[in-house]
Amino acid sequence: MKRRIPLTLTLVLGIVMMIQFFIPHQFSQDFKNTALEWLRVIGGFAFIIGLASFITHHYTKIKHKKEGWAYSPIALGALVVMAVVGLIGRSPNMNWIPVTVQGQQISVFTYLFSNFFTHMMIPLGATMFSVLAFYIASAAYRSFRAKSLVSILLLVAAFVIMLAIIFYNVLPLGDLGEWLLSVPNMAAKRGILLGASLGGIATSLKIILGIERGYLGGTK
Amino acid sequence: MKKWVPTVIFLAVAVVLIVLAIVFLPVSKSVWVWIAALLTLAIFSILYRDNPIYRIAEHIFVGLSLGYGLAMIWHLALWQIALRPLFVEGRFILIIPIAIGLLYFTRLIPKVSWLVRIPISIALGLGSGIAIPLIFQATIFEQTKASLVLPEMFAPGNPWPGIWAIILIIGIVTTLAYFFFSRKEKSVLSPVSKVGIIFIMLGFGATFGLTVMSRVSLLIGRVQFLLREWLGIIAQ
Repeated sequence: MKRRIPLTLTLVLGIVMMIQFFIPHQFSQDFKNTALEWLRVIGGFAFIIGLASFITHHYTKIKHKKEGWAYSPIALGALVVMAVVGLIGRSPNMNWIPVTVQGQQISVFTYLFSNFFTHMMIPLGATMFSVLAFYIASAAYRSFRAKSLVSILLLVAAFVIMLAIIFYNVLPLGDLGEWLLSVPNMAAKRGILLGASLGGIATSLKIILGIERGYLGGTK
Repeated sequence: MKKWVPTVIFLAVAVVLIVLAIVFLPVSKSVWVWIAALLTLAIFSILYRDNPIYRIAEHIFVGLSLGYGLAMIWHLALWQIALRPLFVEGRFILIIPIAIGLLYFTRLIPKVSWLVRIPISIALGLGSGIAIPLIFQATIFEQTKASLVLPEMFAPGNPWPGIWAIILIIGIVTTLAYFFFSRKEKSVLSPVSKVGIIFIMLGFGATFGLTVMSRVSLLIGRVQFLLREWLGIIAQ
């Protein structure tokens, strides 16, 4: 029962949703929209479980004073502050502790939430990705060795694209870069996309038919 | 030299530079710009080596992102789709997805932990069922349609679109042949897949070039922020 019920649910729901696609009726469309809404709600609870796992991990780290435990209170503190500020600040009817910003009265939580996002999350994320520019250059130096025809092609394509972006108006680099993106690059991307799509369909079928059972876990 | 000495030197140099900047430059008076600038510098400090300042900024980012995610999930999914319609509008049918979602928490109770499989199986069943026809429609049919070689591509005087379309379709077929792993090592497809690897390498090279440029563009953005918004060295 512990395995049969989930497998049956997956099979039935999978087949129903596939059949639904081929029924051009309002009822079918409403059914799909309801299913998508329910998926979002169920997914929301999954996020909370993930959050609980994060909190447990850091709590255990602090409790046992594992290596790097001193950073855990910072992560937990940032989580609590942002969550509280976001939960209250994004609520439409809560105007607690109003402050005036650019002539408008808003809740201090809305003000903090907006600024935490704009002046903390965005700069941190953007800087983390920008730092990759250095690592990617160092990785390229190590891996881009013109040893064979294919590695030369990789090297040349990368350089042409980089130069084409920098000297876009200097012909024929811009045109060459565009051609490289729209013909050979597009061919490879489309081939990989088609392959991945067929793989996605095969995996979905395996899940629906109960061949792929990894999500049930190891126990009976 | 002790492990913390470089970090202290780094901090001291940073403090001296910031004090000099405050004295001699038209630095920003906004607290938020200062926070953004200091966090930016903290992340850049990883270029020297792994250090506590970087780790603090990294953990702040992780915590903030999760807090942001929780707030968004609550407002856009749980409250807006489930709890508000249930309690305010009286749509009692929504008890079902909420009850299914709550089953995730049975993971914490060993005796009934198998019940966690139910929300997972429902999500996978619905997701897979929706995905199969959607992938066919949105990816396979559309991408195949976009790859067709049509007679009007060979217009008199400009046959190049047609030639590129033929090269495109050769590239797609040979790329697919390269990823057909279940063929024998020396099959008819072997020479075809050798052509495929040429397209794949050109594609990967182009993607690499684009990725480098996007990262460099982000880096320029951060440096501009530091020099313009924070230090006021370059004009607004």
